[in-house]
Formats: sequence, C-alpha cells, structure tokens
Amino acid sequence: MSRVVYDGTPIEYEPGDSLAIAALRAGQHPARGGTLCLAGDCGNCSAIVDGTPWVRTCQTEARPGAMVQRHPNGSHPSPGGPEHHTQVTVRHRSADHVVIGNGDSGAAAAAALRSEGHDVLVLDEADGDEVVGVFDGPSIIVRRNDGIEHFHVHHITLATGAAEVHPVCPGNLLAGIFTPKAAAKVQAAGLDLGNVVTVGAELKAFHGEGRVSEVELVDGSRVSCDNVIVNLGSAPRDVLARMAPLVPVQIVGPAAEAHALPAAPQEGVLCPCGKITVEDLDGVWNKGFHDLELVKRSSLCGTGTCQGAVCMPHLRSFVADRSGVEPKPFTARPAARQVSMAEAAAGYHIDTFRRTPLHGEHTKLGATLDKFGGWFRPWNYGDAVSEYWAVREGVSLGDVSTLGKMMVSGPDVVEALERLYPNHVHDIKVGRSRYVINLNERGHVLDDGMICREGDTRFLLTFTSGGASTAEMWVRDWVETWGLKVHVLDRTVSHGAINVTGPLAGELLRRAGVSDDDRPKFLQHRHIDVAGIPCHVMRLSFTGEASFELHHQIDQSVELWQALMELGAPLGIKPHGLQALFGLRLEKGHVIVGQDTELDSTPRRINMDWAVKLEKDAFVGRDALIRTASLPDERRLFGFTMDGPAPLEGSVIRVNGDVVGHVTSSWDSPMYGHAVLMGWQKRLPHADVVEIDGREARVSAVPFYDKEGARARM
Amino acid sequence: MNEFVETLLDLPWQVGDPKPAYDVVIIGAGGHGLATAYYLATRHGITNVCVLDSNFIGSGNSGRNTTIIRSNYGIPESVAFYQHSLEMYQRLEDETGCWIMHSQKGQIWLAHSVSTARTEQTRALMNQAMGAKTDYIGPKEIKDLCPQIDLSGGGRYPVHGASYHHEGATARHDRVVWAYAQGALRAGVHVHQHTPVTGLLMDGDRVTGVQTSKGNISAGTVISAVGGNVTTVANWAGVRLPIRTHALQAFVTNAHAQEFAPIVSSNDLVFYVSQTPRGQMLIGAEYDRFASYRQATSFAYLQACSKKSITMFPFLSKLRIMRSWTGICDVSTDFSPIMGDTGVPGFMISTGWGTWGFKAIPAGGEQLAQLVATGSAPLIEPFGLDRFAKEAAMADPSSAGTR
Amino acid sequence: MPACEPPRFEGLVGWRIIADPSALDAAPWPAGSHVVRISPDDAFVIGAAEPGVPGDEHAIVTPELGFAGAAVSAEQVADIALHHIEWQMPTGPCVAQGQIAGVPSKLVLHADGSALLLVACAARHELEDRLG
Ligand SMILES: Cc1cc2nc3c(=O)[nH]c(=O)nc-3n(C[C@H](O)[C@H](O)[C@H](O)COP(=O)(O)OP(=O)(O)OC[C@H]3O[C@@H](n4cnc5c(N)ncnc54)[C@H](O)[C@@H]3O)c2cc1C
Repeated sequence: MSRVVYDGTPIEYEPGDSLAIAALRAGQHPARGGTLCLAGDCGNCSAIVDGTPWVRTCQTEARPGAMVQRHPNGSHPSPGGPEHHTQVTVRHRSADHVVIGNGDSGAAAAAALRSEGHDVLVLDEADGDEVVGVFDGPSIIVRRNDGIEHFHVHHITLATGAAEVHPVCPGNLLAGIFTPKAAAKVQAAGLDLGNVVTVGAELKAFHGEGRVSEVELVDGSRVSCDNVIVNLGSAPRDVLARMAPLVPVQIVGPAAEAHALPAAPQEGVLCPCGKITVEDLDGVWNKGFHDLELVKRSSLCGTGTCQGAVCMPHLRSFVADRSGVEPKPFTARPAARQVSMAEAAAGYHIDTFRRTPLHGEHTKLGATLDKFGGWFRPWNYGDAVSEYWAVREGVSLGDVSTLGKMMVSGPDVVEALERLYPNHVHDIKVGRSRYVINLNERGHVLDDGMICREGDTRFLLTFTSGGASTAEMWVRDWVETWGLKVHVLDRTVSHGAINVTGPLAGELLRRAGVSDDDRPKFLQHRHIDVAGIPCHVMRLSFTGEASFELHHQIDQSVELWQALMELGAPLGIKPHGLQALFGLRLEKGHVIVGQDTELDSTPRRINMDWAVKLEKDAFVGRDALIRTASLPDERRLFGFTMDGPAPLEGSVIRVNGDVVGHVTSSWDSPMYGHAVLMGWQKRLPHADVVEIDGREARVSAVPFYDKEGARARM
Repeated sequence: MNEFVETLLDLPWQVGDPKPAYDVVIIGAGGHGLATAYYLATRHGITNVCVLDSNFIGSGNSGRNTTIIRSNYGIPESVAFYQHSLEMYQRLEDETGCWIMHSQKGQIWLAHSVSTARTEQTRALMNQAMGAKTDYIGPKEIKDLCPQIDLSGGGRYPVHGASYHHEGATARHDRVVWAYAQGALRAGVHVHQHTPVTGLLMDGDRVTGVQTSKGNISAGTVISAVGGNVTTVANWAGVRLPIRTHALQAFVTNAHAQEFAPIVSSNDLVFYVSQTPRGQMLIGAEYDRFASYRQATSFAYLQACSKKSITMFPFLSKLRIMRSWTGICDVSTDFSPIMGDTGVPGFMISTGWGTWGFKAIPAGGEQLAQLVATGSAPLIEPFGLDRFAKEAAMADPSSAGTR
Repeated sequence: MPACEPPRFEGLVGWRIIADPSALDAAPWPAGSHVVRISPDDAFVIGAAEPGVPGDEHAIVTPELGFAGAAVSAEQVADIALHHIEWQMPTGPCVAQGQIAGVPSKLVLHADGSALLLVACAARHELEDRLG
C-alpha cells in the first residue's frame, strides 16, 4: 500500500482514494472537524497539500509521498515548500457543446445532444476536471491536476446537480458528521462507519469531544453513535450560471430545480469558514443590517473559502424568517473551483521586449541597457560624459532604430497629411523634410517627428520611439474617417537607423564613401550608399550637432555599425547612449514628449506655437486651439539655468515659497559647468528667478546651446 | 459573538417613505453621497437631507474597492486634497466612534526602469513639497520593508527603486460607508435604500427635485453621487461630462498568515498587492481598456494579475484565488475628480472618482458639504467641471491606471 | 511538455507591398516567390525578385527584411496552438494573426495544416525563448 504524510505521520491509502478518504481511512478527520460533503463544495476538508493551503482534500487524489498538513488551529495557514513558480501546463482547446457535470442529468443531456449529432464534451470533477468559471466568450476554465485548460465553447449545459445542505446546530464542527452522499462515498471506499445514525430536520445538536458521540433530537432524546448522516435536502449547485448572467448557459436537472430552503437556523455555526454563528446574524440584524447583502457584509457570513456554498441556504432562510421576504441568492463570482495564482497565470506573458538589430553590438560594447517604450536601449556605455564630448567635439553613433517610421503614399496623401499635422505639408519639396508635432482633438501634443517628402504623392513620416506603437493606428483611423486614399506601411521594426552625429560626422561620412556633394544638407534627405550599404540619409539634429540619420534594412545594421565604428576609430568615435542624448538635446531645448510635456500640453504651453499654422483650413486639434487661444494661460514650460549640481528631475519649482511646478529635465552641462533644466511654471505672473532645491535658478532662453543653430548645419 | 460583529455600528433607519421635499437630495448612497450628507448635517446643521439609493448602501464601488488610502499624487492640487482626506481617515474612528479597521501600512511604488524611476522620484519630491510623506528608496530598503519581494523581478523586471509613501493605509470599505450612514442617520438625515431615482424634476433650466420609484421629491439642491452611472443622471439635466465608464476588477485569495505588511504597487507592471486584516491577499491592476458597463470578471484579468504578482512575489504562486469582482468606474479625461456646480442651477455632482475615489470619501464629502452650505470650498475649487472649458485640466499622470 | 521540435526561425528576404486590393489581386508575382496576403491591401512577397503592381501607381513596394519565419508542420502547429494560442484557430488556407505565447505573430496556414510562422525580427528572441 502507498502512503501519504498527514501532519507528519505516514498513513496508508488505497488506490483511488482522495486525500480526505485516506485520512478517514486512518481514522482521522481530513481537517479539524465539521460536516463532510466530499463533493468539493464546502471548505471543511481543506488542508495544505504540498505547500498549497486551502486545497479541498476530497477533490485531490492521494499520490505516493503527498505531504498534507492541517491548517493551524485558530490562525491562517502559510504557503510552504519551494517558492518558485511551479511550471503549470496550459492547454487551449475548443468544443462545440460542453456539458458540465456527469451525473444523471448531465449524462442524459449529453446523450440527447449526441443523438442530435453534436460533438459533446462532458466535464466532471470526478474525472479530474474542476470547472473554475464560465466567462464571456463563452469560455470555460478548467483546472486539472496536470494543468489548466482554457476552452472556447459554443454551447454550455450546466448539470452540476445540487449540493447537500449542511446542518446548523450546536456541535456541528465536530468530526464524524456526513451528508448522505458523502457517507455513501466513504462506504463505497470500504470504510466502516460503525454505529451510524441518520437524522434529518429533527436534529437539535451534536455532542462529543472532538468527534460526535451523541446526537440530540428536538424532542430532547439523545442517541449515541460513532458517526452521523445528516439528511437536510439540497440546494441547487448553480454558481457557474449565476457568475455569468449574460453568457448563454442552459441549466438542467437538480441545478435548475427550485429547492425549499431549510428551516430558519436557531443556534450554532452557520458559516464554518468564518465560524460565524446564528447569534452573530441576530447581532447584525438587530443593528439594522437587513438586506441579504448587508447581513453578509456585516457578519462576513458567506465571504470565506466556500463562498456561501454551506451557509447560503441558511442565510437566506434567516433573512426570510426575520423580514418575511425570501431573498434571492447573492452574486456568485469566479472562482467556483479555486486555482492557485500559478495556475491562473499559466500561459500568460506580461510583455514582449523588443531588441534592435544592434542589440548584440551594444552588449559587446558593455552598454547598460534599459527598457524604454518596450525596447531595450543603451542607457550608457559606461561614461555618459565622455559620450557627450564625443558628440560635441568629435563624432558619435546612436542607435535610433526604435524611431517610428512610416511610409505613406496615395493620391490624397498631401490632403491627409495637411489635415493630420498642424504644420504646412504641401510646400515641402521632394528631398526636403520638416519637423512636425501631432495633436489630438483637444489640441494637446501627442508626439513629434519629421515629414520627409519622397515624391509628389509619397512621404516618409517619423515618430518618437514612444509614439511609434500608436502612430499607425492614429494615421489609419483618421485617413479612414476622412475616406481618403492613402496607403500606409509601418516600417518601425523593419528599418534600422543609426544617428551619426558630431562636428566630424561629415568627415566620417566622407570616409564612408559619401562625397560632400552627395551629403544631404540640413533638413534634406537622400538615398545614398554609406560604407557600401544603401541608406536613406536624413539630415536633422536632436543633439545640436550636425547629424545624419542613416535608415537602412535591418539585416545590414550590424555591418553598417561596425564599418562606421572602424572608419571612425581614427576620429575617436564613441557610441552614445540615452543618458548622454537626453543631456545633449536638453542643451538644445528639445522637449521629449511624455517627459517634458503633460497630458494636456498645448503647443503654446511648450513654446511650440511656431509649429502650428492656424491659418490652415483644418487639422486635428485646430478647433480646440482656436477656442483656447483667447483664454488666459498660466501654464508654461521654461528653460532654467542654475549653479550645479543639477537638481533631481522632479524637483519642485517655487516662487515666493509656493510650489508653481516641477523640473522635467535636468543635466549638469559639461560644456557650461552649470546645470541646465526645463520645468513648469503654472502660475501667473511667471517669475524670472525661481527656487529649486533650495537654490536660485534663472529662467533662460532656450536653446541653451548654439542659439543660431549653426552647428547643426555644419 | 465574533469581533467583527461585536464592534458593529448601528443603522438607526427612519421609518416610512421619503418626505415630498428636502433641502438637499443626494442621489447615491455610496461613500461620497453619505459623507456629504453626514458633513452637511454635522458640520453645517443642514439636516433636512435625503440620500437615495437604487440598491443597498455601499452597493456601488464604495463596497467593492481595494481600500487603498494614499495621497502620493503627482500634482500639487491633488496631493493637498488627498493628504487632507488621508488625515481625515486617520481621525475618522475618533470622530465617528466606529471601528473602520484603519491600518497604516505604507505603500511602496516600484520602478523597474530608468524612466519609471524618474516618475517615482518626481512623485516623492512633489509629495514632500506638498506635505505628504513620500521618499524615494533603493532596493535594500524595499527588501527590508517587504522581504517577500524578488528584487530581480524574475530576471526580467529588476527593481531600480521605489517611492515609499509612509502614510499609505487601508480601511474596511463597508465600515466606512456604514460609519457615515450611521452618523448621518443619527443626525436626522433620511436614507432610503431600494429607491432608484429615475429622472430629475426641472423648472426651466433649473433642477428642482427628483423622480423616484416612490414618487417625486422636490429639493433645493440635488447632488448626483452615483458612481459609474453619472453619465445617465447628468444627461437628465442636459449636462455632458468628460467621463468615460470603465470596468475595474480585483480579486482576493483565501486567508493566509499575516506576513505581508505594506501595500506594494508596480509602475511598470501596473498591479498592486496588499493583505487584508482577514489575511487575504488583495490584488488589482488597471481598469479594462475598453469602455463598458459590464460587471462580469474576465479570466484574462486573473491571468495577467496573477502572472505579474507572482513574478514579483513568488510566494503568491501557491495561493488560491477565492473571489474576483468588478466595479463600474467614472473615469474623467484628466484622471481627477469633478466636483461641485454643473452650470445647471440646483444640480451639483461628485464624480470622476474612477478607480481612486475611496480614499477621497472624507475630504470629498466634507468639501462638497461646505460648498453647498457656504458657497466656497477652496480645496476642491481646482476640480470644478468648468476647468475643462477653461483649459485648466488637472491632468495627473500619477493617478492614471492606479488606485 | 511539447511533444514536437521547436520551430527554427530564419530571417526572410522579400518585399512588402501596400496597394489597392484589386491591384494586388491582379498582380503578376515573380516566379518562385511566395505571397502572403496579410490583409486586402497588404502583401508580403517572399523571394528576392522585385515584384511590380501595374494596377496601382501609388503602390508602396519596398524590401521587407523585418520578418523571421519558420516552416512548421501540422503537428507543430497543433502543438503550438494547444500550448501557446489563446484564440480559436481557423482552418487553412488563410493567414491568422494574433499573439502566440504573448508575441504578436502571423501564422500562414496551408490546407494540409502546416504553416509558415512569422514574427518581427525585433521580437524573435522572445518567441524563440517561449516556444523553445
Ligand atoms: C475594484 C475596484 C477597486 C478600487 N480600489 C480603490 C482603492 O484602492 N482606493 C480608492 O481610493 N478607490 C478605489 N476604487 C474606487 C472607489 O471605489 C470609488 O471611486 C468610490 O467608491 C466611489 O464612491 P461613490 O460614492 O462616488 O460611488 P459608489 O460607491 O459607486 O456609489 C454610487 C451609488 O449610487 C447608486 N445609484 C446609481 N444610480 C442611481 C440612481 N439612479 N438612483 C439611486 N441611486 C443610484 C448606486 O447604487 C451606488 O450605491 C476602486 C474601485 C473598484 C471598482
């Protein structure tokens, strides 16, 4: 015979035994007492099984070596055993007709469906299929010992039968009390219940030490016994239907039948999960808690592990007795049969981190990578300040593959872009590009990027890395709303992009085979080979230095990067990460949408009115901007300078001691030897001198660096 | 008798049907409706007040939230308001004489990336400046406060740091509702359950009362505090609100030994965990993305939340899920409440509580009562409906997607 | 757990075409290329030769190197579906799109149940990890 360990003691079991039966076979109650239904409804047989607390031992087959511990007396259990997520298998299946419950009514329903030619799947916990819940879809989640199953189904028939009513009376937490079906199961397993007494509504109380030794009846008589079978009728087991009221579920058999409520409880524990007594219910009733829901919430009866399976008939009967109106059952919610969080989580992945084609290069170069907008990106390669200097004084590479990139083409494309963007689009010449912002209908800045004209009816749009994920939806939504003919193709993950930036960027391109004539000028873009690799080269500048963004097919990213690093070695080339980039762009006063802007930043609040042409007929956000243009506006983003060290990003900005805003970006400028910042003043009058971090900061015109923009044009 | 029952308060219901007229009729006996009635009666002597609910008291979100009380918001106006509410909660047991099971736990808001670390640091600095006790802390301090955490985040979500909100707390939601109900009833306020309001009485452009299943009731002022149903009710008065209605779900496990001290949230993963006084682990996340009035729970939600929580707290993987539920939330476009005048005379609202309004019940009720009684309530002035037309939204990125 | 071999991915070389659906329907594809119709206006033409779309002068025709693909047998498809696909699997031939093991993917299903599994190169490492 095999053995399981129950509270430290090995006990023997027969094949097919549940853990609860095994305990009974050893002469013990599987938990610490209470009526046993052995049907998975109540919590009276719960124990810690292999480290998982609150397992219904009646539903768990005994396995050799299983470790079972009773919950501690008077306190809550703790999970135990190895902590790490046990790998739970998940299986996704579908089924046309599912019948839940393989009792008489379920078997009949399944047979009838089959005779009509349907494929029928029958799920029953006797076969190890515990239905956790019925959800929209319809879908059904099933727990098995070997994993979790997620079913897509079309038709659900609920044949879950009825649950037997537990007794409520003094002594009902003793061992040795069974419902009739539980007793039948125990006897079928070959156990002898000894001197067993069967009682019904005439029951008054149980007596005994630890286990029942005497039953007291309402007539005052007492019968001695070893075990008691209590027959109080049953209540529909319809939670699965009640938890999914809008899912089409057909209920058949006893689950669908009306059952009379038991007599109103007089004394004893009503809710074994929370040890809540009839006296407790009287207490809340007398204090004015009269709704079934209020009685439940105030007494906590029905809020324990069995979720009302035991107490609900009695609770309803109690309320009916006191109020004269029989209340409907309270709402049922998943889980009908419990799952562990590891089981629930099975098959789910929180997110997908994307890698740029240069991921391996960054790793080789010892970069510290961090997650930005779902991508792994280099934060620095060890020393942001030297990366900064490489950009300011020499040449540097930045991996900007994560930028949003989108091809648009079609007869209506100019019209569409004019309506999408607040800037002019029609006058962008082929081969030229323009900086643009995009707005929502409320006139708030969503994102920014570039428009590059490739032909009369063909453009390439860029978006920030953060904005890329919603850009395609945004463009498509509007184009379709307007009914314009425009083809849209997102290229974000198909094209790599390397930013070659610094005063020596032109020189590096020369060494990579790009003649000075071929090199695009500021705000031009051109298709040329760089180091023998076809690139779409866009000339713009985020860093403040001459910058060439080399867009290319991702299968050539590594080759291009390595070639540039090698050709740039004599020029002292260094790649730069985001940390340096954030400082570089800050010196140039470029905002980062989402960091410097807020949910409701209009262009004027971030000093970008110049990117909005209100004289245009129509563009998204125009109406809102016109409506709000005449309103006084207190909120404005400013540039500030102050002596170092740079205050933390997020520091508050004060004027005369009052908080007027906060610092959105902050950087100890290696170039200036003092801090440069951006931040909000949201109160009029805007001050020229503010207090940050207890120190004085002065409003400064932005850009801080190269106000004329000469360096970007070099 | 068990301790929960023993320490219950009384609900001294008035008898009979509502009167034909009141000075103030409040639609919705959730926390906000009842607290407003309570403060009208106890602070301003306005007792000719009736609160009506289509169901039982606290049947809306006030009785189905995850009970987190905190003031670590992202804009000065919000921090000031919620800090006031948090402090009122700390005194509420003394004031009402009711045990609301208030428990200061501290809230840890994890950051797993450079950019969210910046957000949490910003939160801490703004909070400190506005009088809320929040510090930015590092991994070691986090582990000290919450030994169950896996700082590596399962290898995928390493913890950079966190903001730690010292006064973060919880209280039993129902008991807060009942405490205000008891106080209001004792002060003479009428509260009628199972009395749905089905329309408003109008005289020209003025709201003069409500239609109910028990007849018309006229009122000097009607206040809508109906949680997720606000769009319907406001529409009766012709008021359009920048509110979208979303479902928010949560779930609890069975009870376990008391071991988990703080409230822990994650900025990157967007979920939060705490342990209730009854030992259950209480877990939630952001609201469902699509707008809906549907009150069903979804397995996808249990799946996602479970995965996120066991990733950070492996011990949770063996805990069994007991019950999940859903509330219907009134989410404003700037994630801040909308309180006070609506532009329609005689009609005021308390809405936009979204997924974060439990913590606001004391201050929300107090301030709205003050506004009704005195015509001025500076703490909620920034949260008026007119802010949207004035382009002065209270956009608080720190409250988006959180409780 | 999975009875089958995990899929072996390789970078795909091809062309991406966005054009009027009718023009795509009528397009003469280069011999030897394999056409995946992602949506009515969107085709991924696997193969080196540049296709043309005579019926739409505004068509976008551009190299597509952003996908990795794996040929998967009917058994592999069934195995992947069983363990990694939440959505209901259609029967081929068709293109199905959705998350596979949480990664946005496409499954080009053939009539015999085998398929070409496509994933963006940027997320390939995640899918490989999760199916492997
Ligand atoms: C799952 C979940 C978790 C949450 N967690 C938190 C948290 O941790 N911290 C936090 O601060 N906030 C949390 N919230 C939000 C918080 O619960 C709500 O913002 C708050 O309870 C709102 O209170 P209320 O009084 O405005 O509305 P409700 O409590 O919803 O009350 C509205 C009442 O109006 C009644 N009503 C509606 N229409 C009518 C009508 N026509 N006539 C009469 N009566 C009507 C309803 O029956 C209801 O009782 C959570 C919400 C949910 C759903």
